[in-house]
Parts: sequence; C-alpha cells; structure tokens
Amino acid sequence: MNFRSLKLYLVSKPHPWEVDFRDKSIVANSQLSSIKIYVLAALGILTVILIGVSLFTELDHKRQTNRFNEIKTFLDKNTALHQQMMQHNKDFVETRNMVHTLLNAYALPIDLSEFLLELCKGKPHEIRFNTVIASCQSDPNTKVVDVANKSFNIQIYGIVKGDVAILESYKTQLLQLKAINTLKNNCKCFYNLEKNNADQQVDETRFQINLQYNA
Amino acid sequence: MDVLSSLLGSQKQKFIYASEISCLLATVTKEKKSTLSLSNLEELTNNPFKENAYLDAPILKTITKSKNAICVVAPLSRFIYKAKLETKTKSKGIQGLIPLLKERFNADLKTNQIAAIDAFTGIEIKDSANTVLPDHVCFIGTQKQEIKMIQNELMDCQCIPKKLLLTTLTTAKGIMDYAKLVKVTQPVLFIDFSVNQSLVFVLCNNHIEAAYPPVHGLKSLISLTRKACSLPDDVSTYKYLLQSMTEDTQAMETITQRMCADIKSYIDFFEVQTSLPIEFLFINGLSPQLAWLMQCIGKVLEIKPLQMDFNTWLQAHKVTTQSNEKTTQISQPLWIGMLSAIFNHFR
Repeated sequence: MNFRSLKLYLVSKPHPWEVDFRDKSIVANSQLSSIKIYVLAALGILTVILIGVSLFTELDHKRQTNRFNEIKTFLDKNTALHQQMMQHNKDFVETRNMVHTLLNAYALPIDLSEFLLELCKGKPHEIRFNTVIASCQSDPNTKVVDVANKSFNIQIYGIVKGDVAILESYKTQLLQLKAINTLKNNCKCFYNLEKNNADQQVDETRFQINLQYNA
Repeated sequence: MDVLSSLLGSQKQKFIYASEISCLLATVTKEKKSTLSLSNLEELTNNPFKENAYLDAPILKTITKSKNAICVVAPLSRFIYKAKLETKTKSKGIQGLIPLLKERFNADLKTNQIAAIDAFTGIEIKDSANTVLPDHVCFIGTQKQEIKMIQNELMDCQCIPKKLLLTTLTTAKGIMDYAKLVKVTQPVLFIDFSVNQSLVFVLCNNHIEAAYPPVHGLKSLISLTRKACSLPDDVSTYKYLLQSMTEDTQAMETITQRMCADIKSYIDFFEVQTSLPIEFLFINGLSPQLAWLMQCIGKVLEIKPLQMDFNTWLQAHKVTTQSNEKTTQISQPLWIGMLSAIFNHFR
C-alpha cells in the first residue's frame, strides 16, 4: 500500500445519492461544547486533586508544626533540668575526684595515726620534728587503688641537735616501728642533711628523712 | 475512528429515520464477512401537526444522547429539481448553477440549503477548480431555517448527528438499488408524500430521469376529506384518513382526484418525451395506515404499485436481525429509506 492509496482509504469516498445537510456551525459549536465539557471536567478533577494535595500539605504542615511545638515545649521544659543535671554531674565528678584524692591520701597500707604515735614516742630528745608529710603516688582521676598495693612516701622534716650520726641509728629504728614492720622488706629509709644551714652558730642541723614504700 | 473500527473488524452505527409521521431507530453492526446485524429496532409514531417542533417528546426522549447517529429527516420545505445543463451554463462551472436555480426554480441560496448532484451517478457536485458539470443535474434542498430547527431539536436532546440526510434521497436511492438488484429497467414513478406537498419524480436505470413540480400533500387531502365527509377538525380528519378511509372508496377517489390529475399530466408528458411507459409507482412517507393511498393512486393512474421482495433485498445486503418478527417488521415500505441509508453507509 503506497501513501496515495492510504490517503484514499482514510478519506472515504463520497457516497452517491447521499447529501449531508448538517449545519456544520451548529455541530462544530456542539463539539466545541463537548470539548469545553471535557476541558472543564479535566480542570475540575485537577482542581479537586490540587485542593486535596493542598489540604493534605496543610494538614501535614499543621501536624508537623504541632509536633515541632511539642518538641520545643519539651526541650524548653527540660533544658533547665538538663542544665541542672549537668551541674549535678559536674559537681559529682568534682566530688568524686575529691573523694578519690582523700581516699588515696588517707587509705595507706599503714595506720598513719599509729605511725605518728610511735614516731613521737620513740624519738630521741636530740631530734625535733617540724613537718611530717605523708603522700601516696596515685592518679586522682583513676579508681581507688588497692590499699595493700599502694606506694607511699613519708617525708619527715626536722632538726637534729649535736652529732648527726644519731640519724643513722634513728633510721634503723624507724624501720623497726610496729606500724611499718609488715612493710619493711620493701621500705627504704634515707636521710638528707641541709648543709647550708642559715644558723651556723647553733649546733643544730636540719634534716629530711624519706621513708619510701614501693608496692 | 471508523478506520480504526474497520481495522478491528466490526463497525457499529446508530441510525435514526425521522419522517413527519413516524420515527424509526436501528443500531447496525457490520460484522465479519460483511454481515449487517440490525438490533434495537424501534418504530415510533410522530405527530405531523406540531407547530415549531419536528419530533414528538417520546421520540426525543428515546433518541436522547445518541451521539454520532446518522439521522435521516424530512423537512417540510424539502424539494428536488432536475435540469439539463446547456453548454453555456456548463462552461461557467458551479457558479453558473446559481442563476439557473434562481431563474428557473425560484430557489434562493440565502434562504435554502441546496446540494447539486449528478442525476445519473448521484455524486454530489462540489465547488472546486476542476469540477466538470454533468449534463443532467438534480438540485435537492430545503430551507436553511428548517434544517437548523431540526438540528437544534436533535442537539437539544444531545443527539449529535454524524450526518443529516433527507428521506427523499435515501428512499429514492433504496428504490434504485432494489430496481437494479431485481433488474427492473422500466421507469418508476416516485412520489415523496409529505404534509404540505408531495414531490414527484421518475427513477429509471439507477438515475433520476425526471422531476416535476410538487402535487397535493397530506394537508390538502385532509382539507378535501374534511369537506367531503363533513368532519369537524383536521386532527379527527387525519384519524379518519388513517382508520376508516379504506372502507370509503368513493371518498378516496374524490380526495385524490386532483392529485391524480396532476400526476397524470406529468406521466403523459414523461411518456411523450421519453417514449418510456411508467410501469411502477412508489409513494414514500406512508405509514401502514395510509398504504391505501398508493393502491388508490395506482388504480386511478393504472400503474402497478412497486411490490418489493424484501427477503431478496435483505439477503443481497446480508442483513440479519435478532428474530423473524424483527425481519418482518423491517420488511415494509416504511423501512426502505432507513435500510437504504444503512446499505449506503456500509456499502
């Protein structure tokens, strides 16, 4: 089938003894009316869809706004509480560190009171103590270490009158103290004399005794 | 759409044949093997005495929303003229037909919708540059106002016509088609009976051989019957014509006398002019109750009414209906125009 015959097929042949008397303008208007109806119907459907989408969007927006407001109210209500809790937490951490420090300081493998008592009792009269500092090696941020395995250092500052050799014998006496008797294998004691004594006229020598325990 | 449905193998088309006295409806499906299946066949009565209306309300209700229906209508002002064109007129082309219409037939194109068709082939003559006018032309038309009124009435009930044809031409085509089928070569006198006037023309060998001025119509017959039978009004006279006229042979001859005289003069003129005797008579637009009119006129004019063998015609066009009753229903002269429109559409 070539194009010409196709065209002839599509454009139907005139029917003999048949005349179409239609008023084409009326039919055209009617068809136009039909088209108008279809267009209006399509527009109507489109409008309904748009209104539906718009309503859904509006409702969804309202729902989201409500949810947002709820969350905002919740946040507003709980922010102060949160900040309070954070302050509590901070205070707690500080308190915990202090407690750790205190625990680390006071929880020693020896009874510090007993040690001091024994220290005072057995002291030769040539020796006077100025300061006794007990410190332990521990990180305040870490948990409290086992007391038995805790290293410590006791520094005793004082003045010795007369011969300083007495310190040597006193050093041995210190290690014999009941309070540290159990630890003496790991306990070291040594002393330092402060040569540059300010007061040369007086027969007194300042000293420092270190009692170290390494766990 | 037609092309698409034809490619799919079946076509469906609704037909409405609305004359002054009846309205026929049919839905036709062209099936495979070119069989035409007729369904939804209906026959409704139309009142010819309405003013400013063409169809009765029940008919309009029935045909409502019939989009793309092929409508065959019968405007009261319809006419048919035939002219032999002279060489001078032919040389002017289609524009040459306008003064011819005006001068010879007093038909104005401003007020009338007129189509020119080749009297031998029936093809409509269109206004184009290479149109060659035939020797014999038929002018068929009607008043524009009336076509507009009918079309508006149809479209008011959302019946949008795909085509708007005239009963005169479709029925004439039906008669020519049947005559060709049964090889009737003798002239057939065709009278298109209408309310105001009856058109008279002669069909012969598948063409319109001659057309004559109109003769009496239904209104004239009613008027004559009313006088002859002393009846009170037109409506009761019309009822009398439909129901009781067959019993009153004398009145029949009296009221048709003038009509027959006019037709007789045309027959004589035709026979002298062509040397062909008119053998058959067919009157279009008659309901079964008015069938006596064809018998009466035939008897007076001594012409045999054309007796159509519908079985032959329907079989030739491969027409099927849902039942034998339906086939019997359409096998009557009232349905010729409708069947012709169907056959012409699906040819």
